[in-house]
Amino acid sequence: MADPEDRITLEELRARMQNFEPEMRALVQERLDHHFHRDLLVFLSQQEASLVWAMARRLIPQDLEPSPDLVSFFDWAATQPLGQGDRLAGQPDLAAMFHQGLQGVHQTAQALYGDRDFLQLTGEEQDAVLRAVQEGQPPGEVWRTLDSRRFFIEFYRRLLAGWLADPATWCEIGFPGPAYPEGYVWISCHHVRRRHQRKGGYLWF
Amino acid sequence: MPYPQMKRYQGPVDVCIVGSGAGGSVLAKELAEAGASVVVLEAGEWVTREDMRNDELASFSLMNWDDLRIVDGQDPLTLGWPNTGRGVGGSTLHFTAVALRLHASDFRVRSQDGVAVDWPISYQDLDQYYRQVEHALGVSGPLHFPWGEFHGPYPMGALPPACRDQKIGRGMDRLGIRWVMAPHAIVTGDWDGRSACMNYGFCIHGCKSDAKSSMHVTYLPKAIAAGAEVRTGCMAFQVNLSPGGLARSVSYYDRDGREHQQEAALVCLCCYSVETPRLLLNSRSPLFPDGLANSSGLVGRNLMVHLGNNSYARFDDPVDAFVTPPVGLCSQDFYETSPAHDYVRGWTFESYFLFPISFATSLIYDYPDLWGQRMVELMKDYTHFAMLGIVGEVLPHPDHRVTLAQERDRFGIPVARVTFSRDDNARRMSQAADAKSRQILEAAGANLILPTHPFDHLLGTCRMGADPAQSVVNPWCRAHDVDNLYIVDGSVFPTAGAVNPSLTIMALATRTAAHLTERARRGELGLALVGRRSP
Repeated sequence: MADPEDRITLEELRARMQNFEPEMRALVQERLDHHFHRDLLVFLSQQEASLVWAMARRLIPQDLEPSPDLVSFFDWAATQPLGQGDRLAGQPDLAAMFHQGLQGVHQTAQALYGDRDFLQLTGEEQDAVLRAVQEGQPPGEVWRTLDSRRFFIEFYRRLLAGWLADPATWCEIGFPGPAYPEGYVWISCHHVRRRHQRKGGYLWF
Repeated sequence: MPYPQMKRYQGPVDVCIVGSGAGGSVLAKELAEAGASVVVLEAGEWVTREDMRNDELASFSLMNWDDLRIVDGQDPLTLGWPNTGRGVGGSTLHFTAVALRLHASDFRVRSQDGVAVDWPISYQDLDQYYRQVEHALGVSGPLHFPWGEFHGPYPMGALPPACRDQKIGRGMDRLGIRWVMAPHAIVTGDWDGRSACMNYGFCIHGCKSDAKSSMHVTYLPKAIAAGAEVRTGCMAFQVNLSPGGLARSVSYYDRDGREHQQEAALVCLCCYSVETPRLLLNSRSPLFPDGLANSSGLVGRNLMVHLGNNSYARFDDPVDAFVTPPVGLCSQDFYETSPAHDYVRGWTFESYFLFPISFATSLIYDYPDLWGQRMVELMKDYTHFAMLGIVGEVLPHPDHRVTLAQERDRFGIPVARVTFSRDDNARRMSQAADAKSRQILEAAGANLILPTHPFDHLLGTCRMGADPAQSVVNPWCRAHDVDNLYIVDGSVFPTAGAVNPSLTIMALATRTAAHLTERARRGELGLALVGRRSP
């Protein structure tokens, strides 16, 4: 389905960035330079970080290079409400949910695969663990009190946010980023098609 | 602070308004222009166009109420980003700005459909106030609006149809469904010092051109010019009473956690359907042991949302749906009750889009198994997607409600517990809407259709009615139990209608302001209005 014309090159994005307001240009440049990387993790332990890395590889397999550092992003996002403050009755706060939930993923892997670690499993086996957590009521002590489906959604939501906030991903999916300050002039179907084809006279973004 | 000349009040004032959203801002402007001294307490801060970013991640925590709320019921609500704003202007900071009126039938659901309740007022009671608000906002809309009572013209011409609207409109044409570009509180030309929409698309993350008629660029500057004070970073936690049972003051914490009290002759709560009942329930006293103005026991009850079914549709050609405001065309061909349906009431169709993060994260509630290579492949077609959404009416039920939870916020104030479940009528309507959306999108040429089922908006919890035993406020939005306490926001809606609610909230606020001005002129309420109107 995906048409190569829809993709945006990094050079094209860089050219556009010259027109961004300075604050937005700096924000995009920062993401392009570091892809959310943190030298020092604040929320995750080293062990948790390895687990998040392995889970992220299965949930959002990326062939981009460089690609967003989803472990670092999650380390930041784990305690951010990201615009939504609701918490299911009887469930712990974000920080506790993520610490416990990662422990739960570990327990589910061991329960399903005879005490092997999530990291030691094959890709298919890791997917089976993730599917059990996503579908609800997986094996594991933690899940007796923690809602695994809620954990999965909140975890996955944060990985998606990190993946799709990175300008490298924008290029891959053809999203041109901010419109300010020019705005869009060419908006009807034939304009959109000709813009994707980089026809002269049409701002391509 | 964009208004260094803004008046600052010390001591008692005529009117204390809690919340600067669609209800509070309109009241502030109308009452200040009528000569009242007005203080607006706003929990959030100023969010101006310099603060806003055309970026999802940077915006999520900038203007959404993402404080803790406990949710339960069979369909626990998502709260914050999709329905409650934070900052000066409230939810009008992030609203899509769709400016549709209710229909006459929306005020008579009990009489016509035998369910829920009638409003104590009619469409005719609001008509002139809708008109007034539409001019204040510079609403843009089609030359002829085919449904309901009002057929235009609007103050300004409609937004242009984008590729998305052309495609979905073609599908509707093929099925004989009428559609027009939706009326928007977005100016399409010069209006009252603001200039035309630039098609940034990022309306729901804050409009950087001020073309979207949010409260902080329309009503509030006028309120401030007329002498109102907007006091930010002020979290109200209690309404205090005089020995005679009148509202005397509002207690609040400032942004540093210090406690203050604002005395006023008149108190207006405009904090929307979760925070208004939370504030009332937290304002217990010997006179009102179950919460202020709650002699009916109905404060917090009858919480409603709108069905926000959104069908994602992929097309062969690129659509770039993100190049205009989020809502484009609309259709109300399925708005009214029909004997042919297995549900009562109906919905408005609205074309829609979401930026990449919201696009993907909104899918996973309905498709939690959409991960791995499948999600990556789907997102590579991002520019080929458009959406057809609905605003569908959900009927009130006393068990859908806001109560207080055990948990407390950072000030130590008990937080709200929000209980919601879909009823059978909503379930059947949702199925019908999915089926109709699919028909339209197939006729439009979509090659993949993914229905999702989020909710939009919050309404109810302080129902308006004539009978004090059956409602919280009277037809003028005055609390039945307290003569100088008014509630002016979406929580007074007896039924939800099937349109985005902000225009109706503003019309109600304009009507309440007219009523209050009249009461003051009669010498009631202890207000000393000088009867001045700004030029």
